Amino acid sequence: MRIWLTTAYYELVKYSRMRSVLIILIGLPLLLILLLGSAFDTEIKPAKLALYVGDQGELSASVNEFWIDDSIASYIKVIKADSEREVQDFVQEGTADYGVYVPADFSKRVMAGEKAEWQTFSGRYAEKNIAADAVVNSYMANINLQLAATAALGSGAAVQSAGPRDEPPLMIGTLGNPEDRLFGETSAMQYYAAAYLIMFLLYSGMSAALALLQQKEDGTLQRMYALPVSFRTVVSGILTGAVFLAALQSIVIITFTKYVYHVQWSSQFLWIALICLLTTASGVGLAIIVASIAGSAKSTQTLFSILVFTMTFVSGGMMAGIQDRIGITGKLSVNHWANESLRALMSGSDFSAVSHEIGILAVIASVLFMIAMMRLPKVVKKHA
Amino acid sequence: MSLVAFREVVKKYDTVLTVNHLTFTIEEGEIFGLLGPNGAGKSTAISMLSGLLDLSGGEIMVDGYSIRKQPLEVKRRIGLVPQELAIYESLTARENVTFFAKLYGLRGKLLQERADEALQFVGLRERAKDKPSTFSGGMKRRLNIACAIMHRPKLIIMDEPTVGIDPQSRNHILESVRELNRLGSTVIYTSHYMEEVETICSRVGILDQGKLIACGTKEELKRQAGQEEKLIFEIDRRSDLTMQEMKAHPSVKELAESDNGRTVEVTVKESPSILQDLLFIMQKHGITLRKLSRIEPNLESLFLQMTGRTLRDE
Repeated sequence: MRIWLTTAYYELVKYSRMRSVLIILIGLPLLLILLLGSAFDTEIKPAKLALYVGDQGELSASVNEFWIDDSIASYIKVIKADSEREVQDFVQEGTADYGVYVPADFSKRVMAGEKAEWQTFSGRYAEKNIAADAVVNSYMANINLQLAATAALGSGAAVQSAGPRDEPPLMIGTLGNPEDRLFGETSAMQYYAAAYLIMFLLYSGMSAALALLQQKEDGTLQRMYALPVSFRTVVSGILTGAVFLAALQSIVIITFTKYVYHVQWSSQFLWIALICLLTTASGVGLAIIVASIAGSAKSTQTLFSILVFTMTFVSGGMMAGIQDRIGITGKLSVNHWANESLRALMSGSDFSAVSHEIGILAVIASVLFMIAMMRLPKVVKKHA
Repeated sequence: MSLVAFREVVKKYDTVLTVNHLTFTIEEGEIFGLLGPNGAGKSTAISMLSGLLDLSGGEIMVDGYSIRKQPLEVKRRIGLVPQELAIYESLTARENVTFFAKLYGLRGKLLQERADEALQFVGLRERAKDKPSTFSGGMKRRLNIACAIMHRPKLIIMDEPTVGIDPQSRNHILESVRELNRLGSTVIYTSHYMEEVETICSRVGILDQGKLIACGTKEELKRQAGQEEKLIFEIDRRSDLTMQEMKAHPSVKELAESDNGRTVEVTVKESPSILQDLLFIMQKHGITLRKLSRIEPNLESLFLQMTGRTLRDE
């Protein structure tokens, strides 16, 4: 156990000092997720709205309540300002996408049945202005309705019903049939986050085979044979080092994309961890099989890269929707089952809904790993 | 009891015998040199001794343990310095040593002490925090040695430890080998450089085509091959009578003249008094000696004589 942990720990230390490996395995997927996720993302992000409520009258409480209501939180993020001037400054600086100033006499005018308006300031982005306008208009429409009610029933009725409404102030959707959505139930950012996490976890699996081949070529593996320890333990330590690297990679990618790109990964982290582990095991297995055929570190790297690239492509990781055009081919890849499981979890499914995909992934990982263990002596044989 | 005993050791690849019934022993405290050209079977023999290769036949015993039956016990007693630089470029010198020390089971304070000791021994204590990528070839070779000695093995196997390094580092390594031996380790040393083996080894085994063709001390080997030495005299003038008397000496095997008789090359059989006798003959005839050189037989010439090839033949 101690030998295994020592070997695995030092493997991780070695990986941590290879900048190029870290850039490729962690930096590159983050960049690709950002580029592709943003390029294909059609979702409108919440508009940052600068707000100053100058009104201290009867309606001020309901106005403040309106802006913090959950039903508009998906579309509007409120930034409090201290004056009308500051609202304008926020919009001009770009701190806010839109500005709203509620005049000091707003309640008074509404209660008196006079024309009452909010002063609004549009920002740079048309889609954000539209979203904010829609929210403001929904409130003002309600107020107008109340003005009419006031005229007919008296002032008490208006005060009671000017609060937030149950239905959302606006709906944002996609054009066309919802069945035709390219990224399924997930957003583009979620789709590519899953695809590139899986692709680069497979590459991490390759690190295990490359470490074995490289150490054989350098002679350090030969030195291990001369040590008074079980060689299997040493080799499994080297493989575990790559699994540790993959675990670190998963944690960094998932945490970074969750907090910086706001990718919704689902809260079922145990299942996500299992999918990552099975993908890594498949990667390690596949890489050892390739290494046992290719022989050298260089050829293994080339062949394995082509294989992972192809699997990512046919599973739709590079071009969403391609899997529907090529039929069953995509399902022959490790990526397909891992991606499907992750995306199902992302879109809110529970384990029972993804157990089929995870099960198939587990079978693939087990078969690949078993074949790899049979081929392992070819990779680590004592004398090249 | 010998520390190492090869008994009828055989290594076969398909039908090719790379080690052919190898039998020899190495006593505790020796520096044993293993000489032979490429493909002679040196590395194969060492690989079998270190547990890197399985034996096709025979037995190797180390300190009373069989490499076949008790490989871990044998490996505990061995420190292998492989021919390749088997060190990690991305770890510091100290990390390299501590990594291998941990695999030998060293822990805690003892581990730190032994790592310091090994680095000090090879002269890398000041560079302990540096990575081998910043080292010269000689320093890497020294680190390669440090990784094999920190557990204080009874037997240190050095497979061509001075390949491709500068003379200064080579001297440092040779001095380290002597020091390790003085500290109690038995050393097996293989090299292409027969002058290194001649300088540091107390006994030498010569391998050719998987067979041990000679084994013993340097002197024993020369005697075994009936080697002759050469004496070269540079004299002031030639004298027929002197030449005749020298030729007639029973220990003179051959006499050749050059430079109008002023350089005389005499091949002699082993005799304690031959030089004295020849100088007496010259003095008797009034010949003045200007220069005397003595060419002793070496392992290179011995190998040449025994196999018809040089040690560096491919």
